[in-house]
Amino acid sequence: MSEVGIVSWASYLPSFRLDRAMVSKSFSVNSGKGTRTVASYDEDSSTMAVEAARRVDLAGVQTMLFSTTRPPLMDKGNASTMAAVLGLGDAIAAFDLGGSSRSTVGCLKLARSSRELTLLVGSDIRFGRPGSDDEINGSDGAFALTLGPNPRVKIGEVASVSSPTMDRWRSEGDVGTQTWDDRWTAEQQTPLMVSAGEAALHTSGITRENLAAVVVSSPSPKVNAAVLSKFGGKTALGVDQFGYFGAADLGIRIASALSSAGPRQHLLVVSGADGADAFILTTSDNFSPDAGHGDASDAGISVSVIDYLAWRGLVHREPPRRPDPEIPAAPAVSRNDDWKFAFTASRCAKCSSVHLPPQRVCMTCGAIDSMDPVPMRDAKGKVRTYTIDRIAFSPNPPVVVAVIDFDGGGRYRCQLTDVDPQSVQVGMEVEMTYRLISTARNGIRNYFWKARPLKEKTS
Amino acid sequence: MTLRNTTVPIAIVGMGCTKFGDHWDRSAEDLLIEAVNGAVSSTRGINLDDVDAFWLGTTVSGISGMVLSKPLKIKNKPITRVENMCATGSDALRNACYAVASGACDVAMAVGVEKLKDSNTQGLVVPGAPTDGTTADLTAPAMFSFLVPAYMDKFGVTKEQMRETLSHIASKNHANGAKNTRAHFQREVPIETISKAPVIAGDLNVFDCSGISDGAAAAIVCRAEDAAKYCDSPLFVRALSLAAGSDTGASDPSYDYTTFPEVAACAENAYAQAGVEDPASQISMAEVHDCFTPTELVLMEDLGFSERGAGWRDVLAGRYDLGGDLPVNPDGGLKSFGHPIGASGLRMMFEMWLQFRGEAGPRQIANPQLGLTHNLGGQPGGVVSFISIVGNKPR
Repeated sequence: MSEVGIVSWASYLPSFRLDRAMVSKSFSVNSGKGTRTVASYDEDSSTMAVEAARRVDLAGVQTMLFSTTRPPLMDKGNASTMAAVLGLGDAIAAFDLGGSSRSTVGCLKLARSSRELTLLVGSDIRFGRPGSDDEINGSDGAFALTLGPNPRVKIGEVASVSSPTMDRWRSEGDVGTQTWDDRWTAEQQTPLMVSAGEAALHTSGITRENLAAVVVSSPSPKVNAAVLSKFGGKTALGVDQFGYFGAADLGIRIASALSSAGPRQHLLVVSGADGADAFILTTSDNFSPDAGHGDASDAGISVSVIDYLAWRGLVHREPPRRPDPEIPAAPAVSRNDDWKFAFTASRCAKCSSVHLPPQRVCMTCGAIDSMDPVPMRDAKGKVRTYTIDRIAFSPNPPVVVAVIDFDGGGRYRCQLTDVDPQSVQVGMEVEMTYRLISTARNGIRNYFWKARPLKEKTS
Repeated sequence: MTLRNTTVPIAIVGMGCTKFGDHWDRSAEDLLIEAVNGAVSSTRGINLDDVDAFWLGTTVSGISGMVLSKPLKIKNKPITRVENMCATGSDALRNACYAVASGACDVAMAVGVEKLKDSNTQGLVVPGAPTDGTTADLTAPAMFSFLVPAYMDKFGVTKEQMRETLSHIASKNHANGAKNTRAHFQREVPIETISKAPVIAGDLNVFDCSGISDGAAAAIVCRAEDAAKYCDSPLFVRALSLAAGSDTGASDPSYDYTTFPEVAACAENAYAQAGVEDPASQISMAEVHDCFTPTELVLMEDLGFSERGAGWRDVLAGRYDLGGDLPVNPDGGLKSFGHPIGASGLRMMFEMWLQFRGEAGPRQIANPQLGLTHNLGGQPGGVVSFISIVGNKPR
């Protein structure tokens, strides 16, 4: 029986960056230097997880696990919706496993014990009251790993220590996480992580000297530095500048470390949450890293403190005198689920006209019910014409709407996102991204696809 | 397409129209009573009891024919409520004409009303059926603003030329409205003021958009052969055409946002009905749907008044001004009247009524031969278009 491990990996960081110096200035706190990543007003843990998952090979995935501390919906889960968006088919077993950042390790441990190809997505949005530690040292992002047989990276046994230490807590309805005195928590946390790391090394028979990299994940930069030095590592990752990604942190760091790993290397991974967990990653003999997506090195789009607070619902704009956002009708959504979730259009079998949304009668040749589904999720297109609507309702006005003509046929009119309204031009190249359109007054979150300026894939 | 003129010629023998505006102190019922009584009293000898059937156009001010029968206490008459987007009022008239032409009744009335100013919203809000939530929510100015960059790009018009053109249209319509006591806005607006107004959507600013108003209008129709009984100078209906698009422009890459194909098809049909071969010279005046200034620009080409790509030059040359070769929106248009949806089409016809009877006062156009009214509802890529052609002579 071949071992189970990591088959593919990717991370997704949102486009927006908040300058910590601006936080310092706004709230008279010492926020340190650099920037943090910020999920846009139309992103949440679910949409970011989808974006990360779109970057890995999903063929053959049988189980999907979603880990977050900020699930957009509760009771009704988010994973099954994301599976529909990703086109994983009805037979997929999709589960939400969240609550604590540590859930991600739990998912990894579950996936490791399964023979099925498992998609593990972790995603989180980190914020708290203005000037709080989560605002300053947190960042938003997501990762996706597929785990199964014939891995490119083997995962050793997970060594765990559980601890009831009340280092941090967030009750339902709280804005952000509160923490106990950070010197005390650091003294509690560091030895737990060190002991888990030592146990992982011991079990696998690998010495510190054999480690190519040490990946440490916890909310405290102080603790991370202490644990890293204990294992002799100086591993610097591109994502270090952003701080802690919560339930996405472990996976984002693993993806970042693997992007610079070589064949037959051992990496020690130590995670500190509700105790500590550690394991060894071993790259295969013919391992070579994938081309990355350059999110971490991307300068991103700067967001103001006030917009950031508005996006997180911590300040409230006066809405325009326009109707409330529409409530998507659940039966209508179900009737059109391939379109609504996976952005699947229809192509006329007689004349090849592409219809977005899918139609039964061809607009060009009039053929009835002779349509084939055509996935448009990954299609690229160009802006044919556009407008900036300054009175339409939006959590982040103005609304930018463009008519997109897709390469290979089809036209769709939709919102543009992750864009400076002034930079939009006819002919601009765009790609599709899954976003939150609006939240209706009954709480239904209306997700659909928007276009964004094409991100050049960088290595 | 086989769409003919009515075999029985039809005439308009009475009309009424309220002032359009912010009627904070008047309800839809009040406006209906005034418009209907105005139409009845403008005839010779027709009482409300003599009207056999009614078509009531309203989009958001009520449902069913009883919106009309209740305020006027009309008992047990056939009344149909009509809704066809911004062509609602015109379609009420079209149906009333068809009813008389069919022989089913002798005298029919078309009424249009809208009470918009009781809603606490900015811009026009028309409720729709529940959806799957995948349609991008756009305001009307944003929908129509798509015309501007597309037109400039296709015909090589500069941003400055386009701004000048759109401001000219707004300024012209406001100048006409300043001569009209029924208009909502009766003030001339200088081009400089228009060009510097705050932006609403795309390149459209406040003055590129028509306003939101309350108003009502009504018309009484009968067979042309009976017209002289009720009226000394009736208005004869020479063409009625309606075209609903298949609403595919937003998904069809061949649509280029510089035209309303529905309007061009509707115009072709209307001109065939009226025997018009060269609209640019044969139409004396037109009331067109200037919901936004670029709409009026594009309509000049779709209606065949200007060559493709030349509309903006004709606008700037003053061809469509009140003193120009083909005055467009002599009453002030939607720009001066606002757009109480159900009433607008009949308000346009009311200007024809005044002009052909020589009652248009300072706006009077000398010796008109044929007049055209036009509405469109929807957005570039999918509209309902209505065109009528009228004159003071039977065909």
